[in-house]
Amino acid sequence: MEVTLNVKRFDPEKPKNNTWIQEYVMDIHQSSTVLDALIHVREEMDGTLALRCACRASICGSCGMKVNGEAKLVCKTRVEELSPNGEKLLIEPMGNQPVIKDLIVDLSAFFAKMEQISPFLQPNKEPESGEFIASNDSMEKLLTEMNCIMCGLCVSECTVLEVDNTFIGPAALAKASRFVYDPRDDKTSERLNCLNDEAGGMWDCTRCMQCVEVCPKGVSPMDRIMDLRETAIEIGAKKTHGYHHTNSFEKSVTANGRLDESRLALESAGIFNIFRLLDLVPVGLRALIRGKLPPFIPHKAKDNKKIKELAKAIKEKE
Amino acid sequence: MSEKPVPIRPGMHYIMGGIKTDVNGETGVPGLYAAGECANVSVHGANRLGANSLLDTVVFGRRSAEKASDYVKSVPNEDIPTKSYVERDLKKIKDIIDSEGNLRVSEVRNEMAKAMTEGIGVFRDQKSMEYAKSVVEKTKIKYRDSIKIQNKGKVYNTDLLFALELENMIDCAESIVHGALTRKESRGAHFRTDITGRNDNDWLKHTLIYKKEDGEIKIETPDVTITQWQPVERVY
Amino acid sequence: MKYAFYPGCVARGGTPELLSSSMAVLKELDIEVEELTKAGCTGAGVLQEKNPLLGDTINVRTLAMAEEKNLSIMTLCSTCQGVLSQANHKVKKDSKYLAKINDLLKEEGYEYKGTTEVKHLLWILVEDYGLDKLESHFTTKLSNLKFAPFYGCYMVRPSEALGFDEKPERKMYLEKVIESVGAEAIEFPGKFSCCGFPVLFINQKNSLKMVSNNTGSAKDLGADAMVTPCPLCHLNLDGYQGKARSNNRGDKADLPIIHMPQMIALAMGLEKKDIGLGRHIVSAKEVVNKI
Ligand SMILES: Cc1cc2nc3c(=O)[nH]c(=O)nc-3n(C[C@H](O)[C@H](O)[C@H](O)COP(=O)(O)OP(=O)(O)OC[C@H]3O[C@@H](n4cnc5c(N)ncnc54)[C@H](O)[C@@H]3O)c2cc1C
Ligand code: SF4
Ligand code: SF4
Ligand code: SF4
Ligand code: SF4
Ligand code: FES
Repeated sequence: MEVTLNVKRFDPEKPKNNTWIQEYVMDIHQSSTVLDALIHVREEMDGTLALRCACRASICGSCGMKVNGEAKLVCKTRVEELSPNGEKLLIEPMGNQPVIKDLIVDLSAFFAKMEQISPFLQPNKEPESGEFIASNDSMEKLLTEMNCIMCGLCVSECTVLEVDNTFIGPAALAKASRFVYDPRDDKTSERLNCLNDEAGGMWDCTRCMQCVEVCPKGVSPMDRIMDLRETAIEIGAKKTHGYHHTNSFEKSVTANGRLDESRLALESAGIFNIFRLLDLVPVGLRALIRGKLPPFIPHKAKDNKKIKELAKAIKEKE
Repeated sequence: MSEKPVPIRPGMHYIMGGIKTDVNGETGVPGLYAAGECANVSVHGANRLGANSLLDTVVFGRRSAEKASDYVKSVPNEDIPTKSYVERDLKKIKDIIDSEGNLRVSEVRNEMAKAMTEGIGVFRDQKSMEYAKSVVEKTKIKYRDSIKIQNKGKVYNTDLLFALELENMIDCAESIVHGALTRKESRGAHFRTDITGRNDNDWLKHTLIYKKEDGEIKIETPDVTITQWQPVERVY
Repeated sequence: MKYAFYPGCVARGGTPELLSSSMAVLKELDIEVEELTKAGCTGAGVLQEKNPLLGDTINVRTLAMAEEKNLSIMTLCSTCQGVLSQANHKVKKDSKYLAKINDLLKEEGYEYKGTTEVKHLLWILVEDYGLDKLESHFTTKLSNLKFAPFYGCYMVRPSEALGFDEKPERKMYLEKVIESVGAEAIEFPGKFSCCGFPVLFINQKNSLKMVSNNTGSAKDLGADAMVTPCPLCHLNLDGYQGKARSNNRGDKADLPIIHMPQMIALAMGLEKKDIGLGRHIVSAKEVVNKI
């Protein structure tokens, strides 16, 4: 079947016009993946095209790219599925990472952030038996996070990294959870305190779900981040704005049935953080003028008493 | 699941055999250590068992690293004539980039790969192995005389990388065919359709392949030293 | 046509004009709604972070209320849509979990069987009402206008819970509705981005950068306004655009953020007070003038 790839090229050695879209038209087997098509280009049409790949079986994590704007492992993406009627495919390098050449991005920041979370087990002492034994059950619980193949797709699409490259990011946070929840690791609170940092830490995630959507291995990094936040709250890592945000939300929902935005703003900045509060005021004032400020007395869901009871029942059960 | 047929074929899972080392990763070349899949400590026999490869990398990776570190400390810190080596390698790269053949590296490689799969894949016999050997011989000449490189750049030049890789692949392919042709029995993953049985009387032996400076191949078949474990057949 | 109505508190509290324009449009279209007044907040994903069981229980309770009435739920907010869909998807997949939640709801007399559908007004218009029928209510063509679509995270993710596997075209509905009012839907690469609201109070710098990127790039692409099905996106992109743009691009807020029902109301020629554009912080005057 015929396929047309529009490949975004970049050649740092060209003095000018070093970025362009190049079209390749070729005949490929019906069952070909996008990677097969790209390899066909590289091997039979244009040896200057640079791309990274190895296993061709979605294990090694090296073939991450954007196909029609969405980050994918190209070895896991079949041409026919995206182009049933010969539609052109746009192939670009991953986002949020500097491009080295054509479809290859620089992953050093990715790995630096992985290193930042100390991605190895840190037990406090040697076990008496001389062997660290983890139960099957505890390992099964870690299966999703252990599945990460470090492809960087989640990082490519993360909406926070788009505006702030100090954010530690979905992959490293998912990896951190792999160690936080490993029964053989004894550095839970140290790890969580580090990740609890105000800038770049786990509270910066917007919960946009991009990482969940693109992860080819079902790691669901955002859910891992939510697990970490929950545990951080549990162990009392209390110093950041983010912590106050969730806490106040729970109080507000259980007290009124619905969210009280003004209270949320106040509590998450911290009642004593005058500067941040002042920061919030101008928009509030403008909104007030136009009759827009969230109501100071929250709308009460008609029988919020029931919701309070539910919250209580759940608390008692736990 | 797809309702259309899914193309399936065998893939390479593991290379049995490799650079011969002892249990400390030492090779025949002083100061050169090897561990992992590229090495052969002779712990896997003729058919590595599942999960034992990673075990091998962990155990012998550590041992050889420790030994290598000891070795470095034990030898005097002499000046190594790096310049001449760098110049040799630069010339090699330049020659590849400047080569004026008419064949793409991928074309030459795929031809050899196809012959290796056909001749020396899951099942093999004398004729098929000889066929594979003849194609490897031809590939050597094509590689030397007729390849071309389209990419002349210095950044992430995979065209060049694959040319360098092919040179090493030819070496590996060559030792595989010679090793296989030498062994007149079936054993483990070496499954001959013309000689099906295992022959412990004649073939409880290693196959060692050397390549001399002038390119000549030397084959040795020393006896296997059996200590604690008797070789048995792998059954499922 | 009747739905169990879940307006969400942003439309109710923060942006009442968006609720009234929605109500005016529904009335014009003769779509009947019955508000689920006893329903609690969805938890917006934030509560789920801290107490997933409580979050899911509150949502299953809401789903059960609609099931009792034998109605599908209509939402107006991407976040409500997303969070309710996720809870629905979760309990439909996991009967044990559903039983556990039903056990908690027993006392109040609810038992969810898993039949309720949750649909945003946008989906209802395209799938249930039909764009042809919708167009028959329009009195003006907004043909001079270019709109940038902005869906909001939870309208498009996670695609599995939102039924995109069966209905991939849901990713194009907003453009379809924009075209149905006669306007041009510009090709806006940021249409599935995040508006930055969830970190507004946590990391305002980042949140403002997102607002600036989204509105600034849409403006650069020639949009007259941005259209969103989500009042929360509206709130952030409208309310914080001034500060966001001056901090990050050194320019002024110039992109009106229109809630989708407001756009429909404009095409219907409804009364100004019903449309509620006057309450926006970024003035939508130019948009109205161009009609
Ligand atoms: C699909 C598959 C599944 C497997 N599953 C299992 C399993 O479940 N359990 C198990 O025990 N084993 C398994 N194996 C085998 C095992 O994974 C490998 O044997 C093992 O990973 C080899 O590790 P290594 O470090 O020795 O070599 P590799 O991991 O192959 O590393 C070699 C490195 O050298 C680099 N390199 C190559 N040439 C050069 C050069 N010229 N210059 C510089 N660098 C170079 C390569 O890029 C590579 O990074 C599996 C293998 C495959 C293919
Ligand atoms: S959910 Fe959080 S981590 Fe994942 S992509 Fe969005 S902002 Fe990034
Ligand atoms: S979490 Fe998923 S997307 Fe991110 S690096 Fe790991 S495998 Fe890739
Ligand atoms: S999700 Fe948002 S809009 Fe919906 S009910 Fe909760 S706080 Fe309100
Ligand atoms: S775009 Fe903004 S308001 Fe809308 S769903 Fe995402 S975060 Fe929520
Ligand atoms: S090539 Fe290894 S994951 Fe695609």
